[in-house]
Amino acid sequence: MRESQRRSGIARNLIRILCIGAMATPLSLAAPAMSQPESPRPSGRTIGLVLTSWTHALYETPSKAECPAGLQAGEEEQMRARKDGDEQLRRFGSYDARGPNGEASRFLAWRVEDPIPFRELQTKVGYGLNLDGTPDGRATAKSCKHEKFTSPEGEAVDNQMARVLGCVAGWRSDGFNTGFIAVEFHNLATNRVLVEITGVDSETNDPDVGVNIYKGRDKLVASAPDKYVPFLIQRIDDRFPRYTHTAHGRIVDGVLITDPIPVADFPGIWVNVPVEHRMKDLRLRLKLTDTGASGFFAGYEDLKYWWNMHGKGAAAAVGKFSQAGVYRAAHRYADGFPDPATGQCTAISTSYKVEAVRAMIPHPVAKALQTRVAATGEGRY
Amino acid sequence: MGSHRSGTLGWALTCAVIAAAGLASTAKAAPPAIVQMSEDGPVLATPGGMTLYTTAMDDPTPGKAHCNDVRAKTERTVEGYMPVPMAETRPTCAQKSPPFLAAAGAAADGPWKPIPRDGGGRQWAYEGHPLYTSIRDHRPGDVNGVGLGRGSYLWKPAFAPLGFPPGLKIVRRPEGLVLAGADSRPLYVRRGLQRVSDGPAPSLEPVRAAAVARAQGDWTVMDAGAGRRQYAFRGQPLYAVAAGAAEADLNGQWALAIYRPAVGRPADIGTRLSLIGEVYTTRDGMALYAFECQVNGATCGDPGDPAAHWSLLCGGPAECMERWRPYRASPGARPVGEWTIIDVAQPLFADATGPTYRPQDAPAKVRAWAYRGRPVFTFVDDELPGQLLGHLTGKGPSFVALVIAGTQPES
Repeated sequence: MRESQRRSGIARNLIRILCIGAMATPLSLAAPAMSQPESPRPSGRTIGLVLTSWTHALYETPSKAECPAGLQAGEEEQMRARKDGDEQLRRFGSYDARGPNGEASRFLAWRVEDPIPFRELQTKVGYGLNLDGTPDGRATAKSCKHEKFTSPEGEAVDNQMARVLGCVAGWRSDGFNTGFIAVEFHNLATNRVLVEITGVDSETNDPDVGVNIYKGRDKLVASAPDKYVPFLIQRIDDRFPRYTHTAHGRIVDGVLITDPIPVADFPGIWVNVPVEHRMKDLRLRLKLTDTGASGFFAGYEDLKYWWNMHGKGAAAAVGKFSQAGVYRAAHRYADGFPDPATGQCTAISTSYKVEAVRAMIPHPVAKALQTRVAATGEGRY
Repeated sequence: MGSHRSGTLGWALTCAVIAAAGLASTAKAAPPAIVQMSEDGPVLATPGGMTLYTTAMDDPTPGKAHCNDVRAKTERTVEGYMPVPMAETRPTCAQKSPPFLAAAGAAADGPWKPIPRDGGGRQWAYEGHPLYTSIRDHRPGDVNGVGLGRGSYLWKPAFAPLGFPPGLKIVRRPEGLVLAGADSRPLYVRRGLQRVSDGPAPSLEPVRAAAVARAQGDWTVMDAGAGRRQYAFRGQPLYAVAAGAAEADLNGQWALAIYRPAVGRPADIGTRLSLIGEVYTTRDGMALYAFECQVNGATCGDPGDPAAHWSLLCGGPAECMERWRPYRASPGARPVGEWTIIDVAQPLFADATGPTYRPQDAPAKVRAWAYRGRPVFTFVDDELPGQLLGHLTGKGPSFVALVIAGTQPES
């Protein structure tokens, strides 16, 4: 080994050891993790997590009984159902170019009308969290009237996005979009999401913990498909403070539950396209294990951001759905954050199933980022 | 952005470069091309200095040109073979990328060879690659014929051999054209006084020269001590980042080994970090986009091309103008490097089933910035500096953010 390489390797290993040491150190002795600067974190240990999967929480049966009218018609089917479909295709050259000026349903869905009606999800069962706090989906100051699902545990939950995507072939668990994005979530560091739980005195019950969410910048390591290696270093991507979020939480019977985060942006790559989620009133409910966690990220997807993400990256041609149909359904089922002027809701309740493994999140970067966020206000709304 | 061919081939072809550049006398007929410097590096160019290109369409069949005047009625897409808008009247590939024609009496000479074209006439090929020009180029050194974003694979400039030592090449970075190793990682020189005895930084190692290496042109060979030899460029010893080390480990004593510094950008143009690298922006940091379109190998985003490619993404004439806004040049602004100022029709078209306006025929137009010959736009949905809600990639028409070469993230 060359001397320069040897010295460089020693330096890197020393940094790793220091970082791991910081993770094992009581927080009162280490640099504080990302937290509200004005509210000192209680002493205790820190749990680092890196998400390994992020998928729509959809209730599915093998017989597709929840979709009695069948799965959604695709762009090609919608074009061929038009009387002038052949002429439209000749003029504009794409099945989704169905607007009067050949507008694509994925970009300008509001210009496109589907001749084949949307096929509604028909089930009372769903996954998610109770976001509006009501038992029946009545309208509140922050929500529009809607029909709730009942979770398998018997809880009334909100996940109107399931009504939009539940009967879309590409978005079901064996669909193209779900599979493609799962691979991208693994392969691309742009999709990396880190969760840090601070001030943990008990991993079973602790009424007061801090939760920090960061954009990560490292790859995941798996020893076999879906077998992710825990306790590896995952660095914070401090170049993008906008994707850093903080919350207060508690641990109840081994489940982390957070208070709502007013606005949480997440970056990602979806079907090769850089995208952003903007989730409002985001909460986490994660069952903690010795090596990781699983549960839900749930909140209200801002429709403008969600549509931008969905329209650009969802690949309707192979996912077998009409983007125009999905767009209209999302606006029809929107149940959060009504526009004060029109009363139309601008966000839709959404639950994502997530899986995570424990990770070492180096703190020096978190400290620097905390200072920057405090100084500039970046990442706050 | 592609990097230059180099290594043994490039070293061996140094004489060809010199001949092509017209810098050496020869008994043979003059080569058909010259070497022209561009922002992407030295390229082969017409005698008038216009950049020559090769296309991936020709790669499988050396010596055979596939960009011609045929008007295909369909295009293969992810949806299958789809009709092409305005198939009967749209410009052909050869109209967009005119072949570099060979004179009647032209004969093969080294890597240069005239090849027959379908429909008659002959076209120059270099090392088997048919050569073309681009109607997007207007000045010597323009390289506007290369696609942006994912469309960049189809057309490439015909890079001139560099005559570099084996394993070395140039890559494009924000700082300019930078010397690099075979792995495309940049090389470094020490800032200030150059003393080999100072030794490299811990994460750097000298660029070794073989025992038989000799000085040539800008390249010299220095004694690195202990019987080792080290390449120097324009008198400065070169260092490479050691395997396993990161560029970030370097301190301020080291500078990139610049082959040609970047020209810079106009004051109207800023840069901002985004998820896909540093991107060009407005003065306020809002991302700028260019329209990218290729059908059957031909570009389709130029004035006079089918408007259907635009309306697919941006809507009818009024909606398109509202959602995608040309970035207007400030009064008194001047072109710099790859940035020029052009007239952009507003609206871009009158009828989505017809062609887009040529500026001279447009009822109204604005003076707007263009990057590599394309007008640039802001997107109405972007709310924050560096946000890329308008960015698309894909084989079809798309608006692509202008990523600065050499700044893309690793994944």
